[in-house]
Parts: sequence; C-alpha cells; structure tokens
Amino acid sequence: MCVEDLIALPWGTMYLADLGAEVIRAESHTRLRSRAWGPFPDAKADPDDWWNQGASHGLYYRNKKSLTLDLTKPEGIELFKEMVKVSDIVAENSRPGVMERLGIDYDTLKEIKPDLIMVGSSGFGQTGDWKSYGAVARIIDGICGMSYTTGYKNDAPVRANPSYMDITTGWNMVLCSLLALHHRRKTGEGQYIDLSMYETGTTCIGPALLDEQVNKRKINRVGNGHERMAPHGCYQCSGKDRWVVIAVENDDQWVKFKKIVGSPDWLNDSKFDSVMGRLANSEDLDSFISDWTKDKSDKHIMDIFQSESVPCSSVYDARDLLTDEHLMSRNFFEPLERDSSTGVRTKPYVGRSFKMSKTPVKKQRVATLGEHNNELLGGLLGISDEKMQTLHESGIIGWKPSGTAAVTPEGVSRIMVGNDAVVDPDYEKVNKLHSHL
Amino acid sequence: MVRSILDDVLIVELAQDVAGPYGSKLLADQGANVIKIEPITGDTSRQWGPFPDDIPHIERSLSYAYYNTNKKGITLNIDSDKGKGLLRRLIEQADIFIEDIAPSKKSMYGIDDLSLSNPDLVHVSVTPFGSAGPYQDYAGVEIIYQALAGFMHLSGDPDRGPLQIALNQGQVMAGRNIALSAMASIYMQLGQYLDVSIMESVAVQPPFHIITYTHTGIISGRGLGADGIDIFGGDYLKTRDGYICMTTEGKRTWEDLAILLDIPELSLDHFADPVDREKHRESLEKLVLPELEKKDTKDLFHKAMREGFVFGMVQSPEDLLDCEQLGMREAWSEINHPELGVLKYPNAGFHMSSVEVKSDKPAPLLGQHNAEIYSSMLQINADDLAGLKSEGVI
Repeated sequence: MCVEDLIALPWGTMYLADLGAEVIRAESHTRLRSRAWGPFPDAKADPDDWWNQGASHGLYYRNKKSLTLDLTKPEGIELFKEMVKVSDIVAENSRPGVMERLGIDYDTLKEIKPDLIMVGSSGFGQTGDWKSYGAVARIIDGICGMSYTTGYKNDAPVRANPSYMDITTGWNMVLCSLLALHHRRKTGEGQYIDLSMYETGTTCIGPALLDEQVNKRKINRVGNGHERMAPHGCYQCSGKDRWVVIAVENDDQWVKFKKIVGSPDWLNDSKFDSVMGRLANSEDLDSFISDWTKDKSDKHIMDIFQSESVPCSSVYDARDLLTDEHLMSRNFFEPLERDSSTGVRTKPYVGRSFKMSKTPVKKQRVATLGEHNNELLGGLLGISDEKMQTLHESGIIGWKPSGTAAVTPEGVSRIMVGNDAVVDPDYEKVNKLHSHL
Repeated sequence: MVRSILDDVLIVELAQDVAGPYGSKLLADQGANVIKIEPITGDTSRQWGPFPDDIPHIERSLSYAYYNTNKKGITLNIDSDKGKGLLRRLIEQADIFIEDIAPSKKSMYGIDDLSLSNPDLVHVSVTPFGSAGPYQDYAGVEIIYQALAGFMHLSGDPDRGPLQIALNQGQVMAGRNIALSAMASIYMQLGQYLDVSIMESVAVQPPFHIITYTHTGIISGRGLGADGIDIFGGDYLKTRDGYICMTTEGKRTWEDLAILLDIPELSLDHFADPVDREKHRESLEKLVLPELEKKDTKDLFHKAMREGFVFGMVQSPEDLLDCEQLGMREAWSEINHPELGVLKYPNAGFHMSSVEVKSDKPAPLLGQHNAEIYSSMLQINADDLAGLKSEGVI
C-alpha cells in the first residue's frame, strides 16, 4: 500500500511492481499532483481525461493498482486500515508527522497488522530539527554534497541533475524493502524503516567524505577532466549541440589514438608522450582535439575509436537513446499500454538497468484513476455495491478529479525541457521503432 | 534487535573498480558474508586516490576503503589453472556471485554459464554495456557511461558543453542495481543470471527527457529547472559564504519571498507572475543578487525551510561531517582501518528498527583473509597455502 507523490518513492515502488509485487496506490481524486504532470501526448492535456494520460504518471505508476481514497475523512482512513490488514508493506512519503495526524502511523498500524513493514521516505528523516523541512531532489543534490564536487574546471558548483537524488532514493527504498521482507521471512517480525533522501545522498560521495577527514581537502572541480587520464574530455563535433567524449586510459591507448587521428604536428610533440606530460598539458591537448573533432560526426568518431578499443562515445540525447541499435537489441525500452478509454497510443518507456534470466517482467500497463476501486474494495474487502455507491456520493472514492483538482494542466512542464531544447517533428516514427515489442 | 539481516547470505565477489564492489558493499554493510577475490596485484582501485597526503599506497586508497567495507579479502590468480579451479570451488558455496569479467572473457574463466553446475546461484554480471548486444565489447570508463546514457547531455550549462558528474556516479548507480536485483532474487529464492549494464543503470534516469521526447518530440537540453518554475532557474546563487538555490515548491507565494528576503520591491506588479519575472529578469537580478550576497547561507536556508519554502544550499563534505541533523540521526559509522585510522563512513541512508547499525569492519588489506578463507571454505592447510603462494596462485 502506497501513499506516495513526487518521484523518489514512486520510483522505488515502481521497481517492486516490475518485480511482481501487487502495488496499490492509495491516491486522492481531490489532489492530483503527479497525474497533472506533463508531458501529455502531443503536448496537449485533454480536458476530459488528462488524469489518465500524462507521461510522468505513466512511468512512475506503471503496473500499480489505483485505489482512490480520501484520507482526510474518517471513512477513508477506515478503508485504508482494512487494506493494511491484507498488505505486507506500507510505503509513504508524506511530510514526517502527517501519517500520525491521520491516525495511520506505524504504531497504530502495527496493532492491526503486527508483522507490518512500513517505509517512511522523507527528505531529511523522521527525527531531528530538520524533519519538517520540505524537499525535492534538486535541492538535496546541493545539500548532500553531490553538487559541491561537480562543476566545470576550477569553477562554481553545479547541480548534478534535477532528479538523481529521487532515483537513487527510490532504489534505496527497493533495497531496504527487500531486506525487511527477508528479515520477516526469517523471524516473523515486521519493522519500521526511516529512509532519508539527504542521507542517501551522502552515500554517493563516500570517498570525498573520507578525503575531507584525512586531508581536509577543499575539492578542485575537474570538469570533464580526470586525475589520472589525459586526454579525457568532451569535444564539440559537427551539427547543433553534438559532442563526443574521449578517454585515453594508458599509453597503449595513446598509441592507438595517434594512429586514428593521423599526423598533425601537435600530435608528435614529445610533451604528450607520457601520461604525466599529457596530464600537465591537458588544456593544450583538449584544444587540439576540439579542433580535430569540430568538423566531424560524433557517431563516426565513436565508431573509429571503439573499433580500436579506445573509450569513446557520442553524447547521446533522448532521440539518440531511442534509436540506438545496442539498446534496441537489448529491448531496453518497453512499450507501455494504457486503457483503451484513454485514446493514448502505446509508447516506449525506459525499462530497468538489469535483465533477470528467470524473472520475466510484467508487461507495462498503467491504471486509470480509481480503476481498482471495485476490485479491491468490492472484491477483496467485500464491500457491497450499495456501500460503494455511498462512498462515491460522499466523495471518499471517485473516478474523476473533483474540487480544485479538476483543473486541466498544461501540456508540457517547462522544468522537463531545459533551455536549449529542440523539437524533432518525426518523433512518432522513432516511437514506432519500438512497436514490435 | 538483531545485528544483521543478511548473515545467512554468502557472496563471492570477483570485481574491481566501483560498480561491482559497491554492489556487494551495500549487502556486506547489511551483514552479508562477502569474500572479495582480488588479483595478486590488488583491485585496481587500490591504485587510485584520494590517498592520505596524496602519497599512493595500495593499503591507503580512500576509494577502495569506502567501496569495500565489511568484506573479507583474498587474492587469487584466476589466469592460472589452479586459480580457476579454486574460483569454481568458491562459487559452489556462494549464494550470490558478483563479477565484472568482460562478456568475451567469461568463458575463459568458466563463468559464462553457471546455471547447470550451480542452479541455485544468483549470478550477477556487471559490465559497461551488458553481457549481450552490439556494444558488449566496447571500451567503457565512467565518462563514457554518463555520455552514452544521455545523462551528460542534460548536465551543465546551456552555453557550455555537457558536464560529467563527479565521483563515478554511473558506477555507483550500477552498484545499487546490483544490490537490489541480487536481493530480489534472494528473496524470491531463485537462482538466476542478472545482467547489469552500467550504461543502462544510468540511462533509466533522469526519466523525464525520454517521456518528453516520446510524447512531444522535444529533445531536452541543459539548464533543466527553467525560469518560471524555480527562481532564476533554481541555479546556485552566491551568498556571503556559499551558494543557495530557491524553488517555488512549498506553496509559498512571491509575496512571502519578498518578506523572507526583506526586499519589498519584489511585490511590485511587474514581478507578479513567472512570465513577467522572466521578462524583467535583469532588474530582478539587480534587486535580489546583491541582497543574497550579504546573507549567510545556513541562516537563510534554515529561515526559509522553517517558513515552508523549499530551498537548497551547497554543502561541502566538511559541512556534512559537522551537520547536527546527520550526527543526531547516526548517519555515520566509525570504522577503524589499520592504515587509515578511525574515520566516519556514511551508513545506508535508511534506518531499520529491527537492526542495530553494524557497519564496523574496514576494507580488507590485500590478501588479509587468505589463510582464514582458504582453510575454512576450501580446507587448504598452511603447507598447501604456502605452495600456492610460491606458485603465484595466491
């Protein structure tokens, strides 16, 4: 049972759903933040069905069941508790203290389900002076130290990525849930897990934390450079915003590098012969390489370097990923189906980072709002049709947004786009490349 | 309370660098018994810094120390025939085998298909691009994973080139995927082959640029966190002593912000909505940035957060180690390493009510547990061990 919003926790429970768990999302039909997130198909949100059409919702809520419950009302809480009695895990990411206020905190729920596992996911943890602080991934990036170590060479800190901390906290949620299930199977005991996005972030920068303690080091940001490799960088190629990355790990690869690049004068400068020399003169080296790459295709450069086993790759954008032969051959993208009532075509979505030889992944599908109300409340809990009718009329459950939630959102959220976005008019052709799956 | 959750799980690790070792560290920190097999020259990450005083020493790599806590370490030359035989005998006893051998070399070590000889084994392969597909033998290092996975294209400044994220995050992501996919198999009690691709571990995220493209054709670029959503794009803005970022999350109004920053002019009509703010960005910057530069980062951060704003700030490792919130929540374990002394290591990021924090064993010295492991697991006595040593097998 999930009471979840935003990205971190939904990302984790999505993995559990992919792995076969029956994940039920208790969601509100009066507050629909994540269903209102774009992008919507063709950048247009349909006023009559947008709540079943958004792509963010498609991704984060795939393979989950939708149960609408108004948890601000006592009847909603009672139904939630009935569901908890037949559940293994309750996962929630409301602000610390909210579950207690609603009367569905761990101490209360374990009375009705003694071996319950409950995961409380929050920005800064359930205890301490910071517990009530709000959090989104893009602020945690700076607070957890990730941004401090990232940036262009000798320049200011840069945010690593707007959602990295969400994703990594979601993965941590999967890990701790599986640990707790393993523990429960051995001992019969449930437990409470206090998962902090801030603390999860600190685990990503372990060596820098040790370095501070040992050397009191103030980090010099290395940009795209590397402390042991040169050349090691990102070089502009022909075309708009096209780049290639090249990393020469050792002298053998340097010899191959020279063979590929040919015989410009700079290449034979003896100062580049050793790793130490290349590191000391890496800026010169980078500018020579940029001159060499600027009128060439990034994908061609990748091919010729990789054919000599020198680490090199294009800097891929979304279109490159969706048209990449390697990812296609691995079925990395998986089609996600929607209910036919939504009129939204099946589209490719990212799969997982691992293939499991004996655990087939469920076919991706996303539930409409309240799709499983009847199955779960009527079927599983045995609530009568009459009572279901009353619950609907009193607004405890619903199949459509109501109140302030009933406002049609914009088609694309600007935060998802960035400042130098371009549009590919042929994107539906690219989507079709994945339709055979 | 028990001391560890995974004390019934035995992991054999044949991996170097960050990804494989981090995957088994995450499970070792929860009590799994991890036997780490290193070549006689040691895991390559022993050669990397940071080192104390920047003096290279194979027992003093802080990267190695972090990614290998709570493991037992043995050496083994798997290029020798005897080494291959010993490897097989170790794998026979394992619940999980984590390895990072290149796809084309797995058969050379007899580990290309262990499903017949070890049907209950959870066999995790972690490789740059996965164990099958056109790029399976491509050369990869960290920056390649970030570039090819689409992550790097989105990171950095729109007016400058793509930027890699520090500290091997692609491999860190792969490590998490190793741990969770192995743990899922253990819970399912299902021996199977898990093919973890480092590049795909990165490529699953950030998720929004893929769905934006598939739904609208828009190819996202750098500078995510645009004006109108976050204040000045959510960029890091200079304060007196650091950097702060301001978002419009938290249901605070622009008027609330004017009061928080004590800049009454912000409530003027022509800053009323995001579009106007973007239009008047220059005058807005003139109002806000100089005021921010007078403010103390932590004071402003805490004041804003207490009033319901969602602000960020840039903290250094030193700030983190001094942070009261992390301290009171026992986010660190002190681990005593024979060469590095007592240092604080970050715990898992979650606290489980059924277990004590127990991450307390340092990364192994090279071959530290040879005698113990070869004797207890493979019944090799001291004389035979000396023989193996002189033959260069261990």
